[in-house]
Amino acid sequence: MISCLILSALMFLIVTFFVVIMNDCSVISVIYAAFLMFLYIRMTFAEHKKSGSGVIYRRIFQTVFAVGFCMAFISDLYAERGSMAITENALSSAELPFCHIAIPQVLVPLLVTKNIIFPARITGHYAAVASMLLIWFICTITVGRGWCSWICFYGGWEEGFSHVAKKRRIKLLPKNKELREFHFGFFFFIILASLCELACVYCDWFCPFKLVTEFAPATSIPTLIAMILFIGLFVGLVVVLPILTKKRTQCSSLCPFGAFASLTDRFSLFGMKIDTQKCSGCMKCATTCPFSAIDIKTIQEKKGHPEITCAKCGECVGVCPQKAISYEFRFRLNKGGCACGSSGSGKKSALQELLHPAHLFRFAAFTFSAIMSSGFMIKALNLVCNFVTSIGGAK
Amino acid sequence: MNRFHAKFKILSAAFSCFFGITLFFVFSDIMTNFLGSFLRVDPSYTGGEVCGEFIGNNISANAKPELVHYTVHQPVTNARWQRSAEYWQLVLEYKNPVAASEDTRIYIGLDNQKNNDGLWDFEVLLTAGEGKVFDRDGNFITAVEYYLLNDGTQIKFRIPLSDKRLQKVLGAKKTYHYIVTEELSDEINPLEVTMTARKKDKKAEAETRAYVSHVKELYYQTRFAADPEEADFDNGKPDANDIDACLSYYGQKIKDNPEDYESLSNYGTYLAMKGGRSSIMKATALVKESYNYLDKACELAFEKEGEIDVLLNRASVSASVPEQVFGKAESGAEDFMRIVLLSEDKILKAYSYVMAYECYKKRGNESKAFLALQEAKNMIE
Repeated sequence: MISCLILSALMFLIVTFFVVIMNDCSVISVIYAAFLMFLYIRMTFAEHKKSGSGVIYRRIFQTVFAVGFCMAFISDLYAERGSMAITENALSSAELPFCHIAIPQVLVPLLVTKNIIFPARITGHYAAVASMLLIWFICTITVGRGWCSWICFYGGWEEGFSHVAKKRRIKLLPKNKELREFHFGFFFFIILASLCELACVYCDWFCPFKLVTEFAPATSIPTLIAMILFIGLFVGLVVVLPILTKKRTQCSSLCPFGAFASLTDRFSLFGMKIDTQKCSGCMKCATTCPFSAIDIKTIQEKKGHPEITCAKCGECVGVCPQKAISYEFRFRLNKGGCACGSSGSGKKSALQELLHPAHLFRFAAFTFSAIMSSGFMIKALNLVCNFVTSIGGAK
Repeated sequence: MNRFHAKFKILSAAFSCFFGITLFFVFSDIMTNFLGSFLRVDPSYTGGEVCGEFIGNNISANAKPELVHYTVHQPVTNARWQRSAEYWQLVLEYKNPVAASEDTRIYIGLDNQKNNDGLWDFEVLLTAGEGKVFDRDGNFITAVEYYLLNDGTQIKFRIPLSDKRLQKVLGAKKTYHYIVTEELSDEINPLEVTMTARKKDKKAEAETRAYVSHVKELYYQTRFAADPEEADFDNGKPDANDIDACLSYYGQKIKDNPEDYESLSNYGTYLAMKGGRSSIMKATALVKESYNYLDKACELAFEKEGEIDVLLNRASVSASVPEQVFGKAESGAEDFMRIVLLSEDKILKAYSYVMAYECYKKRGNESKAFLALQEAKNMIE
């Protein structure tokens, strides 16, 4: 209990600084800070009571952030260019916003050509290359692929849609391995293609989130094909399949940043542990995992940890009837096995609780989320308020 | 030992989670700029490597005096995401938008395609909003990609190299440029450009840094010679270094007269200074609060006596606070540019241009930064 209070107090300081003070202590910023604090406190205390019961607050946050981000981003685009379409002025001046999905596509060509193959600003903008690279680096060494399930401002769309239906219509569990193989295959194809073309091929042709951010206008047959592709991919992988499978299909089969973050996750501080002594093999975790990171073999072969694509969302922690899955420091995870029983049971001191990997991971991920979302969400909330006020005024 | 090692690792992890991420975001400005100094966007997206740059009077005797900068890039081949895969980019920068909207002719000669009279091989005619390329006989070759940027002061145009006559640019070792407003005369000397990429001029960068610090020093010397910041005890004015005393002094003055814009401005400046000596959390709150006073002071002082001092206070605060946290560099540059318009003092003008240069640099607006620096150099060499 004391650890929860300490964590909440620390988060309060962070939220007050980055959300309220940095946004001129406006009413909207106070409202958003209160919303964040509500989510964090509820999540921390719920997790304290029962492991895995706080995941709903992560889902709420990510979905709200995705919608708010797109609203704020689109309003920025309209203010700058008058439309969501990419203008030639922006392209020729290298003024396109750079997002994390482009990172793996530019890194290999950067090593070869020593140039960034994306027409974006290097510094001086929130979506500049240098700032995104730094955010990725810090994220990699702290939460790792936890970015996808906690911070990614696109992932919330799938997170939201995957919880629309009550029942799973398509079971992907037997295909989890194939899905992962396809994901990495596609990732290597994108990297090679980007290197050969010296352009971000995924951004050019496949990114489904162009539908909710910016896109090249259909002025030629290739741009028309690209438009059909990204609309189709958004509808298929971000809306329909997540509803039918209750999984994040785009994140676990297409997103190059997801695959890249999986590969670099070994440098992060945290991982997930499956206690093979406690595990009864019910496969509830595998069925629930939105990133297809646990399959039948993971359990049968008693690997002691999920597969490489685990995004540390914590969904499996809550559904495990044996409480066999938990967060763990990566340096404590044994190679090829698990640190089974190492965390021990019984009463823990407040300091032990405070330094528990689950608490630390959630704190780090939520700090990232709160800071990254503050500017966009306040802009989005202002837009909503203005809209409501204008409707009220018109009436 | 192992146990100690494990505990150390856990404590490091805890520190990273509790403070590391927050500190990263607070100081991301410095780290971003540091990383940014090693990165650059592929030239095919930005118009190709620069191979020739001409400034001010060196451009051409017949060009408009408002033309302050002419840049010649290397031709680009196999460009992605651009309208033309092969193009040649040239950039003209003017002091003001009006000059940019007037007609300009650029006659270009190539060393591998010289005619008998050795003058030029094709002509680019830039009229308001568009550009066309003609051959020596006046035949239309192609339209250029025309971009009017930076509030209308910069014309960037790209000559598509799809026509065979223009593709010779790709093989040219030298090009010759005549920029004129009227017809070309024999008396004008061309700008000669060697079509190889220029290397980063470290010497010029060092010279610029030295120039900037020289202007700043000159300004401080003249300012403090004229207005020594000594305690003016006769008027009850406290020592300028005693921030708390200054705050209470100006706070009292604001209470007496809430419209006293000079006191408002000084109070805001001292608040920001206090922020600079406080903890991160307090500093942010104080700097944010200081802008309430600085903005109000500028509003009240608009077109009144003493506007320059009030603007200078706000601009100086804007130039010194971290950009990633407060995002004030752009407005700081605008304040400095307004000071240039209002002031008659040559040194203050040069100082304002130099500060505007630094603010634009911070924002990543190289073009405006360059123009501000050139203006400063016109004031003080």
